[in-house]
Amino acid sequence: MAKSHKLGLRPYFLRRIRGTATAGRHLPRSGQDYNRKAQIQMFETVAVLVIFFFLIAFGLSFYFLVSKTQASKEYERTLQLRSITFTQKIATLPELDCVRVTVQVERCFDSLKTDAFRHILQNPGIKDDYFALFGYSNVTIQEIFPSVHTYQLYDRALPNASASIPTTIPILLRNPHKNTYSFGVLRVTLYA
Amino acid sequence: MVASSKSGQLEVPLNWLFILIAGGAILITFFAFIQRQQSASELSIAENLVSDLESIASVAGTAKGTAQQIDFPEEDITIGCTPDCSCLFSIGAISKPFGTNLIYSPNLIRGPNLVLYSIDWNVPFRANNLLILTNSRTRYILITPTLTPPINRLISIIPNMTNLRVAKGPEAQTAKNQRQPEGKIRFIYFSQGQCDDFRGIELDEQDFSCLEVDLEKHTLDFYYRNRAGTILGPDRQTYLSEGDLIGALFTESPDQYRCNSQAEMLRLANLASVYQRRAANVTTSTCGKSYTDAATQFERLATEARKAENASKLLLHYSILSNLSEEFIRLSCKPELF
Repeated sequence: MAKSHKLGLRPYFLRRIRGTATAGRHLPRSGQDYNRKAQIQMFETVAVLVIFFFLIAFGLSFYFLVSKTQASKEYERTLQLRSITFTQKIATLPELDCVRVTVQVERCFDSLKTDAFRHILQNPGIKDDYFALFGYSNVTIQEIFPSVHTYQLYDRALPNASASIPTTIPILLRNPHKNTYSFGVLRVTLYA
Repeated sequence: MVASSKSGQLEVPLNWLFILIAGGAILITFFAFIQRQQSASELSIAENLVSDLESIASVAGTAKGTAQQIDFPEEDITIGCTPDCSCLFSIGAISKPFGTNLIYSPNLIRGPNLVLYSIDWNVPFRANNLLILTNSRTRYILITPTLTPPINRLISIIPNMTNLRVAKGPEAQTAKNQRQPEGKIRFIYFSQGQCDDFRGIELDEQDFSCLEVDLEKHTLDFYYRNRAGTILGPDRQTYLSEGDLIGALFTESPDQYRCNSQAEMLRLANLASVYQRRAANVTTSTCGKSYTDAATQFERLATEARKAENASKLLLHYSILSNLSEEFIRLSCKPELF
């Protein structure tokens, strides 16, 4: 209050309330009157600017929020796509596939190759060679019918993984000795 | 009165000054924001394109013998490997490693028509799928005086959608003068000492490369032009099978070919170990053939591939295994060798 009085605001408003200051232009103006008017205009401008920037900040924060949500959805979509591609890649690995007279059988794993590959992957050096392919993932082959067996092919978990995407596809497991097939699934969990 | 008029005189310019400063600040803020958004958007587009290309390549890599034409934006795609075999493809500021995909391509390709072709690498069992990435603006001229059966076979395998032309007979003599405006040109010879002649030919700004293939010795001599326009080479490499030979036809940089070969060798070594163990585990055979020899051959192949030094030894094991497999197939042996 004291401050506004010092600036000369209070006497001006008091005069207007008391009727001594009616219409500004009919009264002789002092330097204080002009100061007050300028101050009011300045406050108005500042207030408009504050509101303007507030609205911009609000708009921007809303925009960034929407962008963030979209980005996280896109990230999720990319991860899922990567997981599917990765599973498809494993399903066609020459280290696992069935070949009959030089013709590759789709989504079929040779049980002898599977055993050999699983054994070879226990060698840390070879497991490192395959890191570029498998990355941080868990690859399991599960025989479902007629017998039930689970073989873990590869496992390397990502410490502090933020997401793990499981993908399962049906496969055939061929026993080349007997030339018989079993039903199974390939389970792949990709860590990200 | 004098004081008040002075104050009034000052107020108007000060107001304008304030408006100018505030307006300028607002404009600068918006301009900076738009600039930032624009660069972010460009990055995002490049990132999406690189991801799309990676996905396309990964999916194509799971199928063998497929060729597809891809409509792609007219962006420059830079593909290459460093001498320490860090292989990347880049669009704008965004780069991605090849990963497990083995990509054979020119150093720079541009949309809108990309061609992606996958071919299996048989050595003599399928060890990998190789990807060939090119575009319609890159012209390949295969120059041979006569079409021998191996060359004919090569031409029949390569899909028509690649811009490959065959110059044979008298046409082979004038093929050197062909140019590809707004694109690359690659000359492929099946005899020695041909690419060297280009050192004396005026090539202007033509983006040129040349390859000499020796089908007998399984060697490849790469010639290419550096940024200064000097023709470098020959950079000699070897190939094992039809798959990597076709890869070499489309690969401009010997470094990229060498890095792909190294990755192939490592994969071959590991795969041969899988087959070696598989053959060793075969307990019964329907044809009375022993799998022990095969297991030994697989082991030798794995050892040689791990060394990756002697191509002729690798070719020898390749040939032995190929003959063994044919014999197993002929006798209808179960299980198959591979």
